[in-house]
Amino acid sequence: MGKILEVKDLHKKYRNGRGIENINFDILTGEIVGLLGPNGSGKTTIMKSITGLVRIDNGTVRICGHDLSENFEDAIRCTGCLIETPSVIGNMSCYDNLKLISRFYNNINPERIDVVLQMTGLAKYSKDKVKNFSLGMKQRLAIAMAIYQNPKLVILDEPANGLDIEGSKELRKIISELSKEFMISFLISSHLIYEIEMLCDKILIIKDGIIVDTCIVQDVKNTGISLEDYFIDKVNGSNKKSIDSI
Amino acid sequence: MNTIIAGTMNETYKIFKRKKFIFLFSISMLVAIAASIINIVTGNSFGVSLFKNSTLPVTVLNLMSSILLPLFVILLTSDLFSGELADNSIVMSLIRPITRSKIYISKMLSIAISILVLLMATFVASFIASFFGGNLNDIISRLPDNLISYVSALIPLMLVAVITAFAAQLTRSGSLTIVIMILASVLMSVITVFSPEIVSFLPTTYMTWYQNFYSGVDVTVVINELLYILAYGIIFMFAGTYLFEQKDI
Repeated sequence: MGKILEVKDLHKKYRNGRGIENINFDILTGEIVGLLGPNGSGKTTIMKSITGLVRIDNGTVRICGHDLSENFEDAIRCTGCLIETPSVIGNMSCYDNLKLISRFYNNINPERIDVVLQMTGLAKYSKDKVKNFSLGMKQRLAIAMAIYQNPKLVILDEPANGLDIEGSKELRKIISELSKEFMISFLISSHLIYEIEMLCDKILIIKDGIIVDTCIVQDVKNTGISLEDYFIDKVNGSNKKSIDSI
Repeated sequence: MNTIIAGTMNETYKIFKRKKFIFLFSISMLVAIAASIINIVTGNSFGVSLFKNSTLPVTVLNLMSSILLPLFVILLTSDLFSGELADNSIVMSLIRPITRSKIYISKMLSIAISILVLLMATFVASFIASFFGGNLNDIISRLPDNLISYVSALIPLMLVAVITAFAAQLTRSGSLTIVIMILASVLMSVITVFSPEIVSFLPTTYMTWYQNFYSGVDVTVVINELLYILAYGIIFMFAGTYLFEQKDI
């Protein structure tokens, strides 16, 4: 399997001294990678750096072989993302929001708007103004916008935010299907550890802007330790002996 | 180039969907209609109209370009930059296959289109209004002058937009951008009182550039003032684009 995302020596410091440093990881085709870490550990900064929303101080990001800083348009063309809150235009309909982004993808038939609306359960609300939507519905729309262009990599920051139980389950189903059927890779951050456990193949644990551990979910499960305990151990540095033995 | 066209179409569509644009558009129409009604009423009551009918379009433009049009441009531009940053909707464009500099250019082009639409609509409204009680031959003979004045009014208004876009890069709030622009404009007016010799170096001096086309065009003055406008435009456009490219979202 080829590399869809390559992150090397990523470094970004904000004025307040917080940020990320020495971030290195790859995502392979069809792989679902989870980003776990306490609040303020740098999960969103990593995602923003990969999508060009923040200017990195050092390092390289390559998406589908294209360097993000040298060839932004080609690199981001094969990437869909939902970072922090859904970025939508409230005084427009659901359909119009998707219509706006469709203009940037000449190779995609605009009929795909109906397909993604159907996939995210928004088909019956397509003509409704987004400002009247609940957070969960806005989140669904943002996911529809992230997958519109048939991306090879989808970056989702807390995708289950605002979604009800049924919505979260549907989202997991969509992600699994896209990964298996279309070999789309995902980078997902979430504070819901069971969600990461159910979805992801690999997990990056981040603390204070540094990746402290990379693990395969199945390997952790095989040891009999719960992912929650594993995460707490790695973040707090306690029980080091038992974890190091994995 | 295709991405700039797509970006401009999107930004223009967003502007035309905003209630603020529709409101300001309606206000501009009302000013044109009000000026015509005043003209007709004064003509009927006193026998002499307040404004000359053939110059009514440019009189309306003078009225509007003193406060209303620059304010409209400032509101629109701050909304498109700081406003989108504040409500996070700018991310929608930033994560698409279009570079930041192209987004910046698209936004400026869409503002130019919106100003032109507003100017042309005001021109048509005031031109139609000038027929009520006016001399037809006189009105028709001044048509080219009136039209050129309206089209050329776009240039100084775009300078306002370019400077506002630059100011918007310094804040994350649409209202703060508006305050900065109003304060800057007041400051420049105060400076002209105390140091009249620097008037020609201030951008506010060229807001009435379009008036050069109305009565006997002096090519030297037109070009000289245009060069000042372009110089300011280029400086603020480059500075604004640079800050927009460097901005962390």
